[in-house]
Amino acid sequence: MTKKEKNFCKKPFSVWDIVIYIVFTVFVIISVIFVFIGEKGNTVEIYLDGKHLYSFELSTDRVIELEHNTVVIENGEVYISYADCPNKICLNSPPVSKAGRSISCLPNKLIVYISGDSDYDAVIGGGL
Amino acid sequence: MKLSTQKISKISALLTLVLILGIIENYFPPIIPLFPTLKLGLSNVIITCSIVIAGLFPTFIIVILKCFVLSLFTGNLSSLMYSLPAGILSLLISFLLLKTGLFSFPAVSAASAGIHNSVQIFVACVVMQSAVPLLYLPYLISLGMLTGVFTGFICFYLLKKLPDKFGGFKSRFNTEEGKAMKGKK
Repeated sequence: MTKKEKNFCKKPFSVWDIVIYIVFTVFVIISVIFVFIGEKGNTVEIYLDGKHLYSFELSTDRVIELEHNTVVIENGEVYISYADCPNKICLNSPPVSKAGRSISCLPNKLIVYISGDSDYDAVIGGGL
Repeated sequence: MKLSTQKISKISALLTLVLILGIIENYFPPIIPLFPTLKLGLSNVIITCSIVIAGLFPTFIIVILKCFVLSLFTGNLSSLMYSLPAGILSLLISFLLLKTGLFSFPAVSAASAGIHNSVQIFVACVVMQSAVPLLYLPYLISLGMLTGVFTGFICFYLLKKLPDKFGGFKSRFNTEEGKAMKGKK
């Protein structure tokens, strides 16, 4: 019955909501900046089950057949052309070319990661 | 804490609602095909409501039981390690935000949905031993906030319409409607 509790039972809006929305928008913008700043990568790294499997040059076209997936490098872009997992997220994800970007197929524990040589890659790639 | 019979029955009734909504939601087609794990979070409506109706501790029990039973229902026990920490942390966040009394339901719900999704991403980072899932962070937070605002609105109007004896706004708080109701009596 205090005055404090009134705010959320009166209206679906409150002036203070702006604080929450701003905090999260800033958070989203920061993470978007981290994701989208990135130059052209030069190496395609393939990780299976957290272990580094192969490295390929991004500039040469290539088809890599794995146990559950097929990874295609074409015109400086990488995409997955075949997957035997049920959800097919990796097939639907757009081709990647920038450093720090990746395609992953979680059911098969496959991560295709593009590395470059900037400092930003070191930050993201450091955990790999 | 000792649980009275009334509280236990309240918990079980709310838990049933949460589970039913969770199962129904599981059969919905994904909203965005790229993120099949992104759901509307209809069961979170009940969880946010139960913070107000039942309090923090009963809601804590509801969240833990929901995580266990829903992961059994959907046949995916490994989802437990994502849903349990995310559920507990977002519950605590939304409880604290509601406790301040400054924020409205859609904002609280959006905040807890954002926290929920980012915790799941951090867990995925730990599980996969890589930083790659972090790249999904902006998408999942912003989408989570949209669904959070939506569930917050549902929650607000649900509590507004809830009859007196179930502990909605009308009985709990001294709102305009509450006063009007008392005047009628």
